[in-house]
Amino acid sequence: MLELKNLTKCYDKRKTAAVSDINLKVNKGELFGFLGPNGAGKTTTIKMITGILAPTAGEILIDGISIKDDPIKYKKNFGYVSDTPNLYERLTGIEYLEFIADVYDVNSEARKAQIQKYGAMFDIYNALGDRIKSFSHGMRQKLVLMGTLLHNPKLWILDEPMVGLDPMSAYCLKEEMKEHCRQGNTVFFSTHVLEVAEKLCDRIAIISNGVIVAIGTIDELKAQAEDGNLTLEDIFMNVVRRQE
Amino acid sequence: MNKFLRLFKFKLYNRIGLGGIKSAFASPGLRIKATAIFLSVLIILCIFVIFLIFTMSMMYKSFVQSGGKDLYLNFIFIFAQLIGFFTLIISSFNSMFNSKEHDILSSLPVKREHIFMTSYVELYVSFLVSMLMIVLPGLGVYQYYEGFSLTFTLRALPGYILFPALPATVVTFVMFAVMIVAGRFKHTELISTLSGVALIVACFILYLSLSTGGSSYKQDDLAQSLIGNSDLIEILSKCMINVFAFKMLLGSVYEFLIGAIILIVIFATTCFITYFAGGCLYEKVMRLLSSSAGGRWTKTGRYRKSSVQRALIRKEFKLLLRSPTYVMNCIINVILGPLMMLIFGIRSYNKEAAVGEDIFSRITVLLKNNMNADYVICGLITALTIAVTAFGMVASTCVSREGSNFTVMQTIPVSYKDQIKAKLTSALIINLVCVITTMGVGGVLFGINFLPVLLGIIICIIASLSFNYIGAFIDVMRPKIYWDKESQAVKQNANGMISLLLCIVLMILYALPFALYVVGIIDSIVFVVVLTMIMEVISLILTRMMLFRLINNKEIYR
Ligand SMILES: Nc1ncnc2c1ncn2[C@@H]1O[C@H](COP(=O)(O)OP(=O)(O)O)[C@@H](O)[C@H]1O
Ligand SMILES: [Mg+2]
Repeated sequence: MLELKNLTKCYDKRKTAAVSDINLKVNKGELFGFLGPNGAGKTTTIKMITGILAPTAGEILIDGISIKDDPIKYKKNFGYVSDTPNLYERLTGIEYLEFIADVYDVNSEARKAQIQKYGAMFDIYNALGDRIKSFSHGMRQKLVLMGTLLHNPKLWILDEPMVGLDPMSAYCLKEEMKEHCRQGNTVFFSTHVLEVAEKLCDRIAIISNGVIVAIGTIDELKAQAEDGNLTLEDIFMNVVRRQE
Repeated sequence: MNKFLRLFKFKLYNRIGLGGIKSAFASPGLRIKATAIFLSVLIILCIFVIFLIFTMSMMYKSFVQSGGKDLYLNFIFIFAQLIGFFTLIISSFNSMFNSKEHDILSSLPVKREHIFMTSYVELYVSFLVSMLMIVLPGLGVYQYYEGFSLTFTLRALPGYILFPALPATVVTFVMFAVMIVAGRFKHTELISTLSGVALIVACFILYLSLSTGGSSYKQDDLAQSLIGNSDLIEILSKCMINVFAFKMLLGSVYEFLIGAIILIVIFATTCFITYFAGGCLYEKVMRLLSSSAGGRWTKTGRYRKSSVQRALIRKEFKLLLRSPTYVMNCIINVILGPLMMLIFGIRSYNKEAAVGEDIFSRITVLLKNNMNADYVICGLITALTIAVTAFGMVASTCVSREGSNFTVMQTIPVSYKDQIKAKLTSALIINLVCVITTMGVGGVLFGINFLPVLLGIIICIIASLSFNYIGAFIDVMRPKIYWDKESQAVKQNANGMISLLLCIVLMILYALPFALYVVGIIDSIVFVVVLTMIMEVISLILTRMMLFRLINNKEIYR
């Protein structure tokens, strides 16, 4: 579904690469966790996948399509939730959703059903008539989440999606991520909260200082660590420390 | 006091970007660029000042002929006052009522009076600057004809500094009132924008009546039409106490003392009032504004599908029209264009003379060429309209206005080209409104035939299209995306200025055939129209090609 080949990004030619030579393959129907400490290069990688940043080297394929060959078709395949919920503050919630639905070519019945369903799920339906300016951080995050789900993307990319959400909504989001995979779609999300990753993910990759230091299912990682009793936290600490 | 100064310095660095300017000149890579921008700003300023000096000396001559030096001085001060009002209203929207900045500052251990006073001082300075733009050339011209005197210059100095106190205070409290009223309604932004526009229009109407007929002097030349309503000038100069006092400063020693005392008293009282009343009122207003930020607009969605282009254009208009800052800075020309026509046009109706007796026809008479006055007037109106459309900043800030939402532009599955096209379309629609109303008002007031007006409209629209392409080109090339206040995206953005400069060059080119016609080198108006249109179409094609080539280069990654 998603394939990264030798992906490298240097923000500054003189400094070391923020992301260096990443190879990664996410299969269809997988819930994939992208773990790493702050400043590891998670956001940088995701920004390259979504076409916000140009890679210094390497290639990205979604569903076999490269962004360079057909950017429009490429972009139709994913929904992106950024780490900072940037929104048009002067629009109302519903206006924003309608705008996104128009852009992604969602027909009337589908958008109505989706907005009502997710509005109820995230408990935000009643606030949709208000200006986004008045929304709290969590409400904005929910609105962005709803916006990306409207067109039912084949690949759902989320950058630290739990930040700012209340426990109830975080739970709903986790369920929704699982549900999305169950329907045959793929989810790729970054986080630094290990519990979440441990509970949710089919497979994870740990990135540290721009390099992938471990990849596989939780069981595989535990097997690699030669000690079946280790938690994900221990593994994380080990690989990150070793890499440093 | 120390804290206040530090706060003010911090704001100065942020607002004017002193820090940015300093570092730009310090870094070797940016120095050439910074110098180029600095020089072009200087050139624009010089052109403007030369234009002002020219106008002022014309004014001076006509005033001396028929009114007197006194009337001239009064006119200068009143004019400066009105221009200052205009600036104050716009900059109060841009800086004073910015709730984000206020939220940050009010959480700091700083007195609320100090927070307010820094905003107030900003307004004061912006009035001072715009006033000096008028008064300095005005008094310079005065001294040129009356003979230079050092005491005169020195005496004017306290006047400059104390003069803004009254208007700055008045505008601040008027804006408070506007915001308090607007904050009580659902559509706060809309109402405050409309009241701001209404205040600006009121300034213009005052100017309009200043310069319209009703004068007791009968002289049949250009000078006459420039003087306007000397009675009103007299009355206003007595009502506007700071104008009265400033003029006293320039009189005898005795008068100087009285004038100085009046100005100082005004300054002291207004400072006292703004410091104590303003501080707490300001906080109240800001609280009201931030609590009314989320009025309900539409309860439910329409859930109706529309095309991508239409969705983009609709979004563009909503974002543009719902922001007072954008309305005031980007599309104010839609209002000012027709108003300007009114100013020139209504003269001809107020005088008992025939309809054609207006400023433009006087110019035609002065030129003393045997040509078709209708076409010359229409040509002048067209030139004016083109100039007005060039001041619109919808296209030249189209990407910058996205700000942090630029990532949305990057990730939605719509090509960059289509997105820019939607932005250009909204700019074109606004230009269309501007051109048609301005030309329409001009055409009706000057009684011009339909055909020349139509030709003028077509010429204006083609011109405005290429202006849009130029503006979009500059903004696509180097958008200013990192800002946290809307005014930084439009006002403190060099892109608008640069594209205006380029548009002026184009305008001069377009005006060349017409100028040759007026001078008498070309004697067929058909030839002028055709030549202008050919030039416009060529530049339209060229600018369009350049813009879309640039967009193609930036298509995937920006
Ligand atoms: N715009 C930028 N310019 C220069 N360096 C950057 C920029 N954005 C991120 N970096 C650097 O790249 C590295 C990875 O950052 P990021 O991908 O944001 O980390 P995270 O994994 O926390 O999301 C960091 O060392 C950061 O300093
Ligand atoms: Mg991050």
